[in-house]
Parts: sequence; C-alpha cells; structure tokens
Amino acid sequence: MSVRTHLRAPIEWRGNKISPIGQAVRCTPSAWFGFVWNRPVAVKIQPADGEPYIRAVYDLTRIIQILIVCASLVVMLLLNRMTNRR
Amino acid sequence: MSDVEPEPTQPESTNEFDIEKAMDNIHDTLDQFAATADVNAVYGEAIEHENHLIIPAAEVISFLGFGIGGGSGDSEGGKGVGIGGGGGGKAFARPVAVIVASERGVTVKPVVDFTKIYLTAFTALGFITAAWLRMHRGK
Repeated sequence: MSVRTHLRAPIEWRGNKISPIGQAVRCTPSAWFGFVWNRPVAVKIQPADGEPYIRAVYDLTRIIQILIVCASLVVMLLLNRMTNRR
Repeated sequence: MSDVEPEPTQPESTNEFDIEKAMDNIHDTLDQFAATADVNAVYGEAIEHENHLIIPAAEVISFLGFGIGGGSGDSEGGKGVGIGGGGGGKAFARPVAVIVASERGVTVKPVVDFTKIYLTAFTALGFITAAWLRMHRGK
C-alpha cells in the first residue's frame, strides 16, 4: 500500500500559476487484485506578485455524511443510557 | 500404414506459453492500472468562461481483479487439460469540488451531493428507530 501526493503542472492564468494537488492511495494486496483511490487535496496558487498560498479542497458531502453517522451513534448511545437508567 | 493411431498429445508447452502470456497480460494490465494513480485522473481540463477559469475536481476509485486457473484429468479420449481465467474492474468517479479562479482570487467551491446526504440521513434514522424500538421491547 502506498500513498503518494502528485502535483500537476501549473496552469498559467492572468499571471497566476495554479497547481492542483492530488493524492493517490494505491493498494495491491496481491498480484491479482488492486485498487486505487485518487482524490483532490488542495490547490497551490502562485500569484504574479506575492507569496504562494494553498487552498484546501474539501469533500463536503463526505464530511456531512461522517457527521450524520457520528451524530446518530451519539443519539443511539444516549438512548441506550436513558433506557438503562429507567 | 500402421494400425496404431497416434496418441493424442497434449501440447503442454502451448499451455505453459498461454499461461505465461496470460500472466504477462495480467501484469501489464495491473501496471497500467497502477499508473492511473495520477493527478490528471482527479482534475479535469481547465475551462475558461466569462473571465473565470474553472477546474473541476473529482474523486476516482478504481478496482481491478484477476483470476486464472487450470486443471487436468483423464477422459475417455485421452488427457483432458483445461485452463481458464477472467478479470474485471470498475471505476467510480464523483465530483468533489470546482476550483474557480477570478479577478478576486482563487476559490474552491464544494460540490454537495444531496442525494447521498439524504440517503445517509434516512439510513441513520432507520438505525436509530430500530435501536429505540428494540430497547423499548426489551424492557
């Protein structure tokens, strides 16, 4: 299993250099099977005049899904405790 | 002419060659598959539209698997040898965000899949209801 961060060649646009950054999780447990998970991570911006900065790329759908699952687990735990107290 | 019919010979070397060829094909395909772990798989081509530069970003998950097998046994007509194999794969892509560059700077706008969120919420609600009902019944 390997995790690699890739930087794409910068795209020049009105003096700014925009370099998208991606991350690839590669897993080949055997010579017969494998999977690759590619996801965007961030964008590096190099303005014509100024310091470079990075904008993170968030997967908002996944964050909301994780929050819903965590919230439901907390609710189930609270329900269980309330039922046991009675 | 001789009465003896030539014994059907199994071209084992051909089978070995086939297996080697199949293995080479599998390894080539796996190598090509591994090469998809690339930043270009995630970011699309930049699109210029009304003083904006738009770069779409997506999450790509791909699976690949192979299987190969062979067997031999005696049959009525002679030796029986068989080799078979197969493979399959699937790639999933899901839009995650859109990078928008304008005069004011570069912003990352997330792409929200409400269908997935609703499905997750309803599933979680179902689990909570089921757990609650089980707790009440267990009293």
